[in-house]
Amino acid sequence: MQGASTPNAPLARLPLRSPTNSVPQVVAGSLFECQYRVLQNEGASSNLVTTSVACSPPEEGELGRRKGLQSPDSSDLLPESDPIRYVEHSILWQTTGKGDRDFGIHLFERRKVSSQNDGQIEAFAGIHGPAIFKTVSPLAPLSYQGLSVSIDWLVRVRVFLQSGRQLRFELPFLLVVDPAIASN
Amino acid sequence: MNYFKRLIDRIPWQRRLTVGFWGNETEAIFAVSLLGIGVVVFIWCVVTQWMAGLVSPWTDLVPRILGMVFSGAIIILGGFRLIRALYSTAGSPEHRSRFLQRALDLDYLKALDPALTSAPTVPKLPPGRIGNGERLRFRINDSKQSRGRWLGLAAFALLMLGVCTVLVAVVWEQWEVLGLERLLMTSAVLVVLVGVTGGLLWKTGRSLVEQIQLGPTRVELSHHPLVPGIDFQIFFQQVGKIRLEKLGLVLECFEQTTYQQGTNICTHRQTTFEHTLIQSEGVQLSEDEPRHQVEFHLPDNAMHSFLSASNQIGWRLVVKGKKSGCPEFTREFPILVLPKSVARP
Repeated sequence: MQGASTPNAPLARLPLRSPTNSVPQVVAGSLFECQYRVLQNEGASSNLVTTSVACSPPEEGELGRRKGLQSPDSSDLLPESDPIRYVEHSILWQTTGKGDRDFGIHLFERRKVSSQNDGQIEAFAGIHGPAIFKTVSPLAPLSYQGLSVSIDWLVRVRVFLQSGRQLRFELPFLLVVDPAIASN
Repeated sequence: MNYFKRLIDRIPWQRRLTVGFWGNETEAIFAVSLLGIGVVVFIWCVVTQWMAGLVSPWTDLVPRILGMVFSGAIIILGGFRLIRALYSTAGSPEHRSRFLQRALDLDYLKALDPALTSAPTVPKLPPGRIGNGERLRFRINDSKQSRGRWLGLAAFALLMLGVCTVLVAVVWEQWEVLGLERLLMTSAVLVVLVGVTGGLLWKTGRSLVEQIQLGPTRVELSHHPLVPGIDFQIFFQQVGKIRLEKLGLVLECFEQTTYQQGTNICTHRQTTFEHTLIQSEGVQLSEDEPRHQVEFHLPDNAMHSFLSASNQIGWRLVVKGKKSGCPEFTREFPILVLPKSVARP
C-alpha cells in the first residue's frame, strides 16, 4: 500500500542559497584555475598586505581569466615592516553548524619567499605578481546547507610573516554536479 | 560559565595563554615540566632501588616499583603532550592535515577501490550489511542496534539477578549475627533490589517474546548504492505470529553531529527528510505476509551520504510497527547514496 509523504519535511538538498555573483559555482570533476596576488607596499610607517583570489574555468587568453569571479580585495594593516616568509594556498571543505568543525584538504601548496628578493620566486608565491594554480575540482562532498550541519568549499590563502603572524584570505565557492549529468 | 568567559575577555593576556600560538607554547611548557618531573622521579626511584639493593633488596620494594611505574606513566604522558604541542605549533591546520593525508594515502586498498580516493568522505557500509536478494538484486541487513539494546537489557537484568542472589544468600547465612536493626536495613535494600530486578527480568522476557513473535524483516532494493535522480524498487516483508496495530516503512535522511559541551561529548541526530513508503493498519503477520513492492524516485537535489569525524549525513530505511499494549518498535536498515559526480564521473 503506497503511503503519503510527510507534508512539511524538508528535502535533503544541495545548497539552499541561490547562486549569486558573490559565490562562484564550480562543477565537480571539472578543471578550474585560481589565481591570487599578495601585494606588500612599503610605506613610510606601515605595510599593507592585500590579497585577491579569483577562480575561473581555464580558457585561452586573458579574457578567460577575467571571467572568473573575484573576492573583494582583503587587506590588513601592519604596524611595522614585516616581510613575508612564505605563502600557502589550499582548496578545502569544512563543516559548520552544531557539531565540531571538520575539514578536508583537496589541494595544498606552500611556497617559500626567498630573502634575496628573487623576482621569480616572489611571483611564484603570488607576491608582486599573480600566482596561478590549476586543479581538477573534487567530486565530493558537494556543497550542502542543512539543518544542523553545512558543508562549504573555499579557496584559502595564508600569508606567513617574519614575526610569526598569519594573515588568512578566503574565497568560498559552491561545488555542484554537472548539469548534464544531473539531467540524465 | 558565561561570567567566566566575559572575565577572560577582559583580561587578554590570560586568554592568550590558552588559545592560538601562545596556547601551544604554554602547553609545550607544561608538557616539558611533566616530562622533567617524571624523569627526576624515575631516576630517584632507580637510584634508591639500587642503593637499597646493596643492603637489603626487599625493603620498601613495592613503593619503589610503584614509583617507577608512576613516573614512567608521567614521562609517556609528558612526551606525548610535547609532541602534540610541537606538531600543533608547526604550520597551519591545512599543512598538518595534508601531512596526515599523505600518510593515509599509503593505504594500498585505495588502488583497488577508486571511490575511496575520489570520495573519501562518502562512508562505506561494513561487509555483511549488503547481500544478494531473492526478489530484487540487493538485500539490506538491519543494523544491530535493536538487538544490541535487548542484549544489553538482558545482561543488566542477569547481573542484577546475580547481585540479589548473593545478597539473599548472605542475609540467610548471617541473619543471626546481623542483629535486628541491620537485618531490617538489609532487608529493605534487598526488597528494592528484588523489585528492580523483577521489573528488568519482566521487560527482558517481554522483549524476547516480542523478538520471537515478530520474526525477521526482509528489505531488498533494486539498486545499491543509490544515486539522486534514479527510480528504484523496494521489496519489504515482515513475518511473525502477532497482530500489529500499525506497520510502516519510511525512507529517512538524517544529520548527526557530535560536539563538546564542557567536559561532555554530545551527539545530536536530526531527521531532515522523511517519506513514508508503506503504511498499513491492522496487520496480521504470518509466515509469508505482509509483503509489498513499491517504486520510489530519489529527488535530484538529494544530498549524498557523508561521514567525517564529527558530522554525518546518512540515509536509512526504517520499519516502524506497533502492537496493542506495547511501545512502538523500529528496525533500521542503513543505505548508501552516492553523489552523481562519483557514480558517473
